[in-house]
Amino acid sequence: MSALDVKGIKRSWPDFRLEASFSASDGAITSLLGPSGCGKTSTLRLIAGLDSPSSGDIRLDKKSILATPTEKRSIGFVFQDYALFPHLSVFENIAFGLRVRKKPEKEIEKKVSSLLSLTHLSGIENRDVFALSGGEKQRVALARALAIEPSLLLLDEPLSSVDIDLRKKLRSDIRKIQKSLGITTIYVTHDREEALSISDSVVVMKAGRVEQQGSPDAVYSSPKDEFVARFTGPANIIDAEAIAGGFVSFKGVDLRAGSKRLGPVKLMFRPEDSFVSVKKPAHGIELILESVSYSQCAVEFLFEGDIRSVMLRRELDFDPDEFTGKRLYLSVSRLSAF
Amino acid sequence: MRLIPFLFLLLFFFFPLGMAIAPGILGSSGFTLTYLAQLLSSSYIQGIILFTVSQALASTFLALLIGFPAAYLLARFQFPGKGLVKAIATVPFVVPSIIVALGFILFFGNNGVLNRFLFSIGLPGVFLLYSWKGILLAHAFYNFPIPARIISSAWERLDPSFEDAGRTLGLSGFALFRRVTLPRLAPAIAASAALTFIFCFMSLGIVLILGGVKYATIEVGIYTLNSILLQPELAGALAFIQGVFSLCFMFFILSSAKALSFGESGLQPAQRPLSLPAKIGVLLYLSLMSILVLGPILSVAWFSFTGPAVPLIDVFPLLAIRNSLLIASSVLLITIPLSLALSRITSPFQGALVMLPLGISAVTLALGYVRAFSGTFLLSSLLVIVLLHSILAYPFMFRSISAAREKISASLLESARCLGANSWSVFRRVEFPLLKNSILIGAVFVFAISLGEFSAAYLAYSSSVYTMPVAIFRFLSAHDFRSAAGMGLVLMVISAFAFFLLGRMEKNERS
Repeated sequence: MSALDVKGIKRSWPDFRLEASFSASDGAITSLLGPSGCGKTSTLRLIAGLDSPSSGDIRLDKKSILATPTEKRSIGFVFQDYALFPHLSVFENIAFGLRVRKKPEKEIEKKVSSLLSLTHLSGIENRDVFALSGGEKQRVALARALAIEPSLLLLDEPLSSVDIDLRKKLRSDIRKIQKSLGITTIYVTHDREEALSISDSVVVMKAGRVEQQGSPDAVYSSPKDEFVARFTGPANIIDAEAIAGGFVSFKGVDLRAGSKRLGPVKLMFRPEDSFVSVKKPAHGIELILESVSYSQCAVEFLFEGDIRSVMLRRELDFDPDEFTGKRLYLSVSRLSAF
Repeated sequence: MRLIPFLFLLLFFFFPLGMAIAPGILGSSGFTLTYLAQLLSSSYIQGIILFTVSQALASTFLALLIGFPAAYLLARFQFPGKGLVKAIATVPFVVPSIIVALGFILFFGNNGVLNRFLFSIGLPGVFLLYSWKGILLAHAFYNFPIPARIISSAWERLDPSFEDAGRTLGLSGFALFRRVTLPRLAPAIAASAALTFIFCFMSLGIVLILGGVKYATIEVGIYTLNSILLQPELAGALAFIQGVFSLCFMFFILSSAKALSFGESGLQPAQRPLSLPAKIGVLLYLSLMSILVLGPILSVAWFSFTGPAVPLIDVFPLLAIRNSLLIASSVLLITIPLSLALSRITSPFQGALVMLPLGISAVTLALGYVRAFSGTFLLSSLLVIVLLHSILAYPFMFRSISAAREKISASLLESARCLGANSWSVFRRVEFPLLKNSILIGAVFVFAISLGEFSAAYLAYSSSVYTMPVAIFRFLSAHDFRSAAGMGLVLMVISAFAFFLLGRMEKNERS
C-alpha cells in the first residue's frame, strides 16, 4: 500500500500562491494536468521534499512524510530535462541510487540489467548519456528512478522533449511498465491527450489550485466548470436556463443535462456529441448559419444570434457552404451543465 | 560551517586591508582628509600618480595595438601554424612578471642579445631600458594576450548575419568593419582594455626593475612611503586612492562583461584562407611578435648557461625552489576548499565582494599583513606568504569553479537527492566530478600565480624566507645575471610543466 494524500498544502512565492489537495490511489497513475505555470511542478517538488509547504500535510501510506528529508523519502523523480549525470555511463546512471545505498556489486549488476531489459535499453549500457537520443534519455531516467524501488514515482512532463511520433509509443511503454510494477505514479503534463489516455485519475489544476479531480471520463464528460471543460478538450459552451427535473431549456427546446440547480447555467457539449442537420429532428435547435471554417477534424459553424460558434465533427451529409444565411438544426446527444 | 570561508576572508583580507588603509584616512577624531590632501598637494606624489595613469594608458594602447591583429587573425582566418600562434600568444600570460623584466634586461638591455646581434652586423643598437619605453614595451608584451584572447573569442561568436546584412546594404571592406563589426566588438575591446589597464596600473616588478630610479608608480610609491620614508599615514592614503581607482575599474570590467554575453550566436562565420599579400603581412607581424615574445624568454634560457656569473651572496637557489613549491602547494590546499565553499554563493553582492581582492594591490595587502600581524608567529614563517598568495590567487580559482557550477543544472543535484544521496554524497558523486576539470584549470593558474608572484613575497620580507622570484630579484640586484637567469629558467620550466600537465589531462578527459 502506498497511497498518496496531499492535504491542503500551501506555499507562497512573491508572484504565485499554491494551495492544493488531491489524492492518488495505490498502484494508479494520477496525472496533474494544467497550463504551464499552474503549479504542477511545484506540487511535485513539494511531494519529493525539494521544497516545503508552509502548511498542510503530505501523507504516503497514511504517514506524514513532511519531516523526512528528500534523500530518505525513497521517491523516484523523473525530471523534465531528465537530469542524467553527464559524467556517468548509462549503467552508472541507473546504478546511482544503488551505489549510494552501498548495495553489493552483484546485486547492482542484476538489478540494473533487469531494468535495462524492462526499458528496452539492453546493449547501450556503456554509452555516455549525452550520446543518447531523447527517447533513450527518457528511458534511462525512468530506469534510474525505478532502480531504488521507490514507493512513489513522480514524472515531470517526461515526454515534453521527445518527438511527437515517439511520444505515443513511450507513453504506452510507461503505462505498461507502471502497471507491471504496480507503482503509484504522479504524472505531470500540460497535454490533455496524454493525461486522458495514460491516467487512472486526472487532477486538473489552474493558477495554483485544484479545479477538479476524477477519472479521465469524468473530467472530460462532466467537467465542473468552463476552465476544465476547455482544458480537457474542444468544448462548446452556451448560456441556458435550468428548469425542473435536471432539464435545461434553450431556445424553447428542453434538453436533458443533469443540472442540479435552477436558473441560469452554462451548457457544455463536445463536438463529437453534436451534429447539424438540414431537416428538423426531435429536440433540434433552429439556427441561421453565418459562416463555416474548417480545421483538422472539426468544423466551426458561426451562427447568427445566441450561439455564435459551434465546433462539430467533420462528418456532414450536406455541404455547409451552400447553407450560409439559411436555417439549420443543431442536436446534441450528451450535455453537461455547470 | 558556512561562515568559515567568510571568516577566513575577514581575517586575512578585510582586516589587513583595513590596517593598511586606516592610518591614511583615520585621524584622532575619525575620518579625515588631512593625509589625502597632504598627499595630493605633494608634487612628488602628483608626478607618481600622473606617471602611473599615463604609463598604464599608453601600455594599454600598445597592448591593444599588438593584440588586435592577433585577435583578427585567430578569429577570422584559417592558416597553417594557427595553433602555434595561439600558443605564442599565451606564453606571456603564463610567464611571471619578474621573468618578463629579467628577459627584457637580457634581450633588450644595452648590452643584451638584441644589441649584440645588431652591433655584430654593423647596425646601431636600441636603448630602451631604464626608461619609460622599456616599461611600456614590457607591459605591452606581458598583457597583449588579454585583448588577443578576449577580442578573438568575442569575434568568433559574433553573429555573421550582422555582417551579411551590412553587405546586402552595400557596405564592404573597412566601411563594413567600422560601421558593423567594430561596434559589436566594442564591449570586448573595452573589457580587455580595462583589464590590461588595471594590470599595468598595479604592476610592481616590471617598474621596479626596468624603470630604474627615475620612474615610480603608485605601487612603488606606497612601498617607498611606508618602508623607506616611514610615513604609514601617507602610504595608507595612497593605497586608499589606488584601491578606489582600481575598484572603479573593476566595476567597469564587470558591467561590460555583462554586455559581452549579449548577442552571441551559435553560427560560425566562415573562416577564410589568406590571400598572398595578406600572407606576407601576416608573416611580418608574426615574426615581430615571435621576436618580442620568444626573444626575452629564450635569452633567459641562454643566459642561464652562458651569462657572466658573479658567484656571491647568501641566497640559496635550492631553498628558494623548495620554498616556492611548498608555498604554491599550500596555497592550493587553501584556495580549493575556500573557492568551493565560496562558489555556493548566489547573491550578486556577495559575489562581487568575493572578487574584491582582484582590485587590491599586492603591495597594499602585504603592508596590511605586516601591520596587522606584526609580532605574531605568522610574519616570521612561510605562512604569511601562503596566506597572501591565497588571497591574491583565489579569485581565479573562484571564477573557474563558479562558472562551472553555474552550468550544473539544479535538477542534477535534486535528482541525486531523490535517489538517496545526502549532501556529502551529492558533492562527492555529482558536484565534484563535474567541477573537477575547472578545479584543475584553476589549480594550474593558482599554482603559476603563486610561483611567479613577486611583490607580496618581496614585501613580507624576512631574510630567511624567500621565493624564486625574490631570489631572482636579489640576484639581479647583485648583477648576478647567470644565477638570475638560471633561477628564471627553473621557474619557467616548472610553470610550463604545470600547464603541460593540464593540457595532457584535458586531452585524456576528451578521449
